[in-house]
This record gives sequence, structure tokens and C-alpha cells, in this order.
Amino acid sequence: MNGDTSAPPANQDAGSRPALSRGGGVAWPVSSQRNTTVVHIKVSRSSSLVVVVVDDDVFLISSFQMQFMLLFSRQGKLRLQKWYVPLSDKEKKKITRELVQTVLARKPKMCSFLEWRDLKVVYKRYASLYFCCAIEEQDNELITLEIIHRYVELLDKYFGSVCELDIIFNFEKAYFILDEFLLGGEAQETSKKNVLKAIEQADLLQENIDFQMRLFAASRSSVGVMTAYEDLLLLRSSTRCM
Amino acid sequence: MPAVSKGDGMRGLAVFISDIRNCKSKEAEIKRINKELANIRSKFKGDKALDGYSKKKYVCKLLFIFLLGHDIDFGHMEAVNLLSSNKYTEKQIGYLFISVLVNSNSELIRLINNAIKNDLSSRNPTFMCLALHCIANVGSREMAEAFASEIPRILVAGDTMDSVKQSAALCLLRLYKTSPDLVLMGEWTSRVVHLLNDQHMGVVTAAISLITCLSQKNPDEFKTCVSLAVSRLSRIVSSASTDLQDYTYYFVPAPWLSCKLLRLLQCYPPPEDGAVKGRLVECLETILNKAQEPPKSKKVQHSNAKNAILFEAISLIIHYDSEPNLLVRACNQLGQFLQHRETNLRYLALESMCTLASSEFSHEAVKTHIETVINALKTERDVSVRQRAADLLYAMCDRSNAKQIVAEMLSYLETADYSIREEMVLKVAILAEKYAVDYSWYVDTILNLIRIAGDYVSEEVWYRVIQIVINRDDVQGYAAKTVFEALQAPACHENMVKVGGYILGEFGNLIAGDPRSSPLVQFNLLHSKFHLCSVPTRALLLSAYIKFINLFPETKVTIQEVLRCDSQIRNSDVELQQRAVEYLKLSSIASTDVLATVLEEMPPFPERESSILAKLKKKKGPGAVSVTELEDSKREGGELNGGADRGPDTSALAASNASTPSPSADLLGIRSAAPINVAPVSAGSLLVDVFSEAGPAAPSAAVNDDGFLRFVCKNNGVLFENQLLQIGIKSEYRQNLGRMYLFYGNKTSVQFASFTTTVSYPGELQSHILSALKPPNLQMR
Repeated sequence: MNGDTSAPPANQDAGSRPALSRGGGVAWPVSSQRNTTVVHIKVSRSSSLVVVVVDDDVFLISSFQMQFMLLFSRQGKLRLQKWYVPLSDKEKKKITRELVQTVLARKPKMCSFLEWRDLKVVYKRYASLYFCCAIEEQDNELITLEIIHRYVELLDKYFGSVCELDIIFNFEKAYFILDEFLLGGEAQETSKKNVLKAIEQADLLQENIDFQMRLFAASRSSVGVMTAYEDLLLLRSSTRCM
Repeated sequence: MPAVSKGDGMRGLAVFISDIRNCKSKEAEIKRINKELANIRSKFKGDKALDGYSKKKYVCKLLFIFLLGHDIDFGHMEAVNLLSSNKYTEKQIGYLFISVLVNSNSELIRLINNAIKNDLSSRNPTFMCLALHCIANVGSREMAEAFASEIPRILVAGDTMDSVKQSAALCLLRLYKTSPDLVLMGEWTSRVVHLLNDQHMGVVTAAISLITCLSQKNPDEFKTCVSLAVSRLSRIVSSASTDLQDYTYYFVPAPWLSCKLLRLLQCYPPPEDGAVKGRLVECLETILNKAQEPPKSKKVQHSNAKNAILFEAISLIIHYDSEPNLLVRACNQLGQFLQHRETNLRYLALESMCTLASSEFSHEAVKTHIETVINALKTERDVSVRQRAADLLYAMCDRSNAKQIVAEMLSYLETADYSIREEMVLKVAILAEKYAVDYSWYVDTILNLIRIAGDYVSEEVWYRVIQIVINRDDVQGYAAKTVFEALQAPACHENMVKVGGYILGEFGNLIAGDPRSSPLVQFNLLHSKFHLCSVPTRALLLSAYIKFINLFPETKVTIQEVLRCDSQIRNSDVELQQRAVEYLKLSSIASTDVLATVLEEMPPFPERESSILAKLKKKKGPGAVSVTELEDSKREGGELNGGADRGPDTSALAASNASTPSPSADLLGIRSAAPINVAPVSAGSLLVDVFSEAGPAAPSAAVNDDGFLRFVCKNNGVLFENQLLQIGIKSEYRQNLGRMYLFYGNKTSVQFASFTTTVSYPGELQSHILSALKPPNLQMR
């Protein structure tokens, strides 16, 4: 149903990292079909490794990974949740609940980084929204802070002075913009212009199709055609205004 | 700022969202949601086929409801249908839905994969990107199976558009992380390395992330990336702020790219080629120099980006650990940050310095900042910063400053956050033991620990102090005296009673001469705490009492009275009752000689790795113990006493310990040996053995002779271990069939060359045994 194929076994304390992950190995099957386990090993305070064992083969994967990004209001309402690691719904809810509480309890002058469970959390408040990223031990905190800022800039440019309401009513757009910027937790395009261009192109693509349909529908009457053209021009110019 | 959807606005959705926001209560919200769900359900089931727009709208509504936190159990089929629409926004919503609500229904998965396949081969870059994003977001095994071979082709094909290449690179990365066995190296790998030279910065950015991850497993395949990365980096670092145009972020040229390049370089040892190395060192020096220049902008984004690069460069310098000049400069730079206005920078400086402290080149330089760090510990308002300061103190501790640091940590402990107390206690205990020149100081420290944070003093800690007191004659009297005084406090922690009971039981005679601590006084003191203690403590006290009877015959009558009373010999707890009864009998029938023999002083504990160290490693990972510490313990070797619990499972622990590091192996080498012994899921118990029981380590030198005998009753474990190599065995037997795996772990930081193994079988077994050698598949730097 809504479950992940990659959820930890049911008897584990769902939602919290199983105890073995502190300095030991966490193992859970990532697929029911193959004998695959993902083990997180803490090598040292500042580095951990991910080892994937498939049948008899062992793969070592470094652990630079943004685990998730959450946007929530000051009342703790979640406005956006992007998960970059497989977790069950129950775990996601638990993590969200706990992390939101922890971040909301922070005072304004405190630093933007905190250690939470075995992750580092980077957060920043913009007006009424908290932007929160969880990264792993080897990741660079300051650059993550700037990832958050860049994302806010993108939203701002797209919506024109973005506010929380924009993200509430256009939540799907927020996800699309995020995907153009970060994929799998990694920054893929760091040019603001290029990201926005990609989004605009998609919007335009839709408009063109809409326009053509309306053109077709309106082709019966010349007035209808003119209206269609005017509408398109209006839409185009408003998009370019951003 | 439109509050309504832009562009292709779905009116119905906006209205629905407004309705939800206007709901006054949770019940009203749920009611409204259920109404909508019913509506959508009927529309989906209805006879009329829905047009694309409506389908999109309803799927989007379902998505919204799900994201609010309610469960959705339908809509997947409709979302999958949207994928085959030609309209971009419909496709987009379909993909969003299925990547948020991941479904494991195999039929749906098949349909989804089909749709993705169509989009990937559509040659339309926007559709291809959508498909790639979906794969990257979901990254399931089924998708990996379907697309893992396709995506590398897309990535390196000449006619792929830049935006698609970016997405393909990161998509492949995601697949590799979840299903590494399905992403096979091939022709494409060398071309991926050349993406580093691509003129489109976005492609380079994405490719670096991919290469960084792939090179962990296949360092050789990708090692040409090092020189490319260095030249790219030096071009960026020396570029003027106008060169990179849109990739300049607040006057900092390509910060994300720079950070990623530096991170990639941390996957490899320092370049061997002199020219490349020279260029890199120059680069790093430039970065360090820039940090000293006045900022080009007052905005915090500028300084964050600049410092992000700086910190990553420092990480690289620390990783190389070979350029003393750079290390010292890095240390000084961090020292400046320690007192920066911005909390973030102070936090990061403390964090970075922790790693610097373990390098022999910079350890001294780090120590010069001790006063600043202590000050931070005392005055920082942010608890995360204080915690980093405590960590740094721990890392920089050595003989010269141990007393000071331990004292500071103890006073910090009094006000520390509860969540970190246990770790702090362990650390203080370790430091106290390691750097104790004078063991009475050690005893004092531990007793202080118990006094301040008794609840968080785990068993390992107080076992340790007792072991040390037992093993060192010179401190026994002092310990007895101190413990006696500590027990006199009106509110005394139970752990103190345990320690006190044990020590007085063993060494109470050393202070019995003084009338203030005469035997009866000691007994009364202990017994006054008796009723306040838990069962295990009481058991310990009873043992102490019988020892008293042996040590001080004059107390025999009093103690026997106590033992005889109903609350002991009829105690509901079996252990207490048994002890009371047996001790009573023992004291009555045994002659003094027999009693003295039975209750002889405890012999010294055998020397092994400190179990506290093991427990700290278990909590935080072995790197929490600094390298200096490990090296010290290697040198000091047998000087410190160690010992695991003397319980009956000690031998089992030792036997099952397959990969606890011996002190002489380097940190990264340690853990490289570990995964070798990791077995597939079926042997879940092996995983537990390997990772959760960080029991005592075998000393580095010898072959484990007794280790060999172990395998009579155990299937898994370490067969042989020395400084270079660790050989582990895992075997399974089923009826008449058996399978044995031999794992060879490389404990050094260099690769073995021409590593061969031979297995010889005695006589007849030759025909019964099939053996196969797997090529080494794990190379650690």
C-alpha cells in the first residue's frame, strides 16, 4: 500500500534508528526479493560508511547523503516533506514529530546546526517557515545552509515574493522546483537561471497545449480566436515578469 | 503573490485547500476530508471516463490529503494512468503521486516501469527528466533492475541534452546507493570521468557526486578523476568573480562545485604526481589565504559560502595529514573562528578541531587553544556548542593537561544536559584512567563522577575502578578511606554504595585501625544504606558482610544476627535468600582457616582492553577514541588493567568477537576488516556478534591458539589476527553438507599486492571439499 519495500523489519522500534546503529551496524532488508541488507557503520565521529550486502557480495558506499528536507510552520504544521532515504510511513511520522519539536524548542540566537539522533540537522527560519535538512556526519553544514537559501531564492523568484500561503496552495510546484534543484539529495543545478528556465519551460509547454486546444475550440468564431491569443500573451508576459 | 494556483490552476484544488484551512477543528477537517475522499472514490469508480484535467485534479487532491498526514489507499491506478498522458502537467502530477506514495503492488510497478521506459525513450528532454526524477525519488529495486543498464547509456551518449545528463547522473547515483550490485561498471565509467571536463557546470556538479560515490568501491576505475578534479578546482579558485556568471553565488565562484571537488579528493590519498600535488597544495593555500582577506559582501550568504569551501578544504588537509604547514595553518584559522561572533562558525571550528586534534602534526597546535575551549564550555549559551567544546577537550587531552581537562569536564557534568551525561561519564572515566599518574587521583575522580552523575555511571565504569583498585596495591588504602568518607554523605548514590561495599569488603582492614573507621562502624555505615538499595546492591552488600566476618571476627555476632533475621533468610528474592542462608551457614560451620581461604582477597584481574573504551566505541564509534589515545594504549600496552565482566559469558564474548580492533590497527583499517565478516541476512546473529559486542580485543601479536579450539563449538569468529591481516571464518552446516567461508581482512592502509591463498586439505578430505576463491572485492584506502 503506502509502505516502502525498504522498511525495517516490523519487530524493530519503528521510527527510531535501531539501537545497533550507534557504533554498530544497522541492518534491514531493502528488498524482499533479494538478500540485500544495508548496514550503516559508524567508523568515527565524523565519518560513517554504508555497506550494502547483497547475497555474498559486500559493497562499500560512502555516506554523503541528505536524508530529508522538511518545511514546517511555527505551529508545527508540515508544509513540505522530501525524503531521500527509504523509510516506512510510520517512521517518517515519528521522525517528523520529534524533529519538529526539537527545532521549535530552539531559541533564536542558537546556532543553525544541531546533532539529532546520529544525524546533523541544519535549519533556518524564513518568516513563518522553518526549513530543515538532515544530513549525515560527513556532509558540509555550511553548504547545506546555502542549499536551503538557494531553494528559498528559487521559490521567491518563481512565486514573486514567496510566502507560506504560496507553498500551501501550490505545494506541487514546490516539489517540482525542489526536484529541479536537488535530486536524490544532491545539488544538480546550481545556476538559479537554469533551474527557473527549466520550470518555466514546463509551464510554457502546458500553456502551448492549452492554447492550442482553446484555439481549436475557438476556431469557430474569430472573436474566440482573438481572445485566445490575448490570453496567451497575457500569460506569457506575466511569466516573464518573474 | 498569488494565493491561487499559477498557470494551470486547478480551481477545485484551491477551493478544497481553503476549505481545509478554514476548518475550525480537527473533527471538521476529518469530516471534510472524508467527504472529499468519498467524492473522489465515486468519481474514480464512475461510469464516465474522467478527462485528464479532472483526473489530475483528483490525484492532486489525494496527494494533498496524504501529505496532511492521512492514509490513502486508492488512487494509484489513476495516477499511473496519468503517466501515459501526453500533457506535461498531468504526467508531472502522476509521477509526483507515485514517488510520494510508494506502492509495492507488482502490477502497478510493472505499469510504472513501462511508463518510465516510454518516457526515457521518447527523446523529449522534459519527459526524460521527469522519468529520471521519478526513478531518483523512488529508487526501488524493481526500478533498478529495469533501468540500471539504460541510464549509464543515456548519461554518456553524445546526443543527450545537458539537463538530462545531470538528472541521469544523480539518478544513477541513487540506484547505486540502493542496489549497487545492479550497476555494473563498464565502458561508460571512463566517459563519466570525462564529464568532469564538461563545459556545462550543472553536468559537472552532478557527475562529481556520482563519481565520489562510485570511486569508494572502485577506486582504480576512477582514479584519473583526481587530476581532473584538481585542475578544475584550481581554475575555479583562481577565477575572478565575473568568470563563472550564473554559477557565482554572492561573489563566491561555484561554491557547491568547489565543495564537491574537495569532497571527491577526500576519497583518494594525496596525489602521487608531483605537479598535480603542487597544484593542489597551491589551491589549498589560496583558499586559506582568501579566508584572511576582507569579505566582498556583508551578506551572510557570502561568508557562509566562502567558509563552506574553507571548512571542506580543511577537511581535506586533515584527511591527507601529510602537510605540516597546511595543518598548522588550518589549525590557526580554526583558532580564529573559535572566537568569532557567529555561533555557527564557533560550532564548526570546534567540530573541525576535534579531528585536527588527532593528527600528530597539529595536536600540539590544537592544545594551545585549551583556554578558549574551556571558556566556551563554561560560557556558551547554546548546548550544541558546549557539547562540541566538551568533545574537543576530550580529543585534545593528553598527559600534560589531563588533570585540568578532567576537572573542567567534571564541573561541566554537574550542569550538563541529561542526554549527554552518559557519554560524558564514560569519557571522563577513560581520561582519568588513561592519564592517571597518581592513582589516588583516579579514584577520587571516579568517586566524584559517581557523586555528580551517579545515575549515568554505567557498570563498566565502576567495575573498572574496582579492577584498578584490586590490581594496584598502593591505592587500596586510599580507596578504602575515600570510599568510607564518601559513604558518610547523607544522600549517597547507589553506585557509591556498590563501590563502597566492595572495596570495604576487600580492604576495610586497611582503615580498621582508626577508631573512626573501626570494623563495626564500617559495618553500620554500610548496613544503614542496605534498605535503600536495589536487589543487586543488596546482594553485593551481603557478600561484603561475609567478608567482614572473615576480616573482623569481632563483628561476627552482629553480622550473623543480621543474616539470621527473617528479612534475609526468608527474603522473597531467591538470590538474596540464598546468599543469606549460605553465608550464615558458612560463618557458623567453617573454621577460621577455611573461611580465610574461601574469602581470600580477590586476585588481580587479567589485563585486557578496557571495557569502558569498548563501551564508548559502541556508543559513538571507534573514532570517538582519538588516534593518539589508541597509539598511547598501544605503547603502554599492558600497563593498564582491563577486563570484561567476569560473568560466565566472557568466553562467549571473546569467541564471538570477530572484528574488535586491536590497538595497533589504524582507524579506517579497523572497519575495513569488519565488513568482510559481515554475512548475508540469514546469519543475523553474526551481525550482532560482530557489531554489538565490542568485547575485549585479542592482543595484536599472536595467533589465537585457543581461538582455533573455539571452532569446535562455534561456527564463526576470528581465526587469526595480526597487525596486517585478519582471517575470519564463517561456516554453516546442514546435515551432511557444510560450507565454510574464509574472509581475509586487510588491516593496513595500503592495498595488498599479489595476495594469494592456498588451502590444503588433509588426505581424504580433498575429494570431498570444493573450494572457490572470490576475487578481493573490497579495497579500503
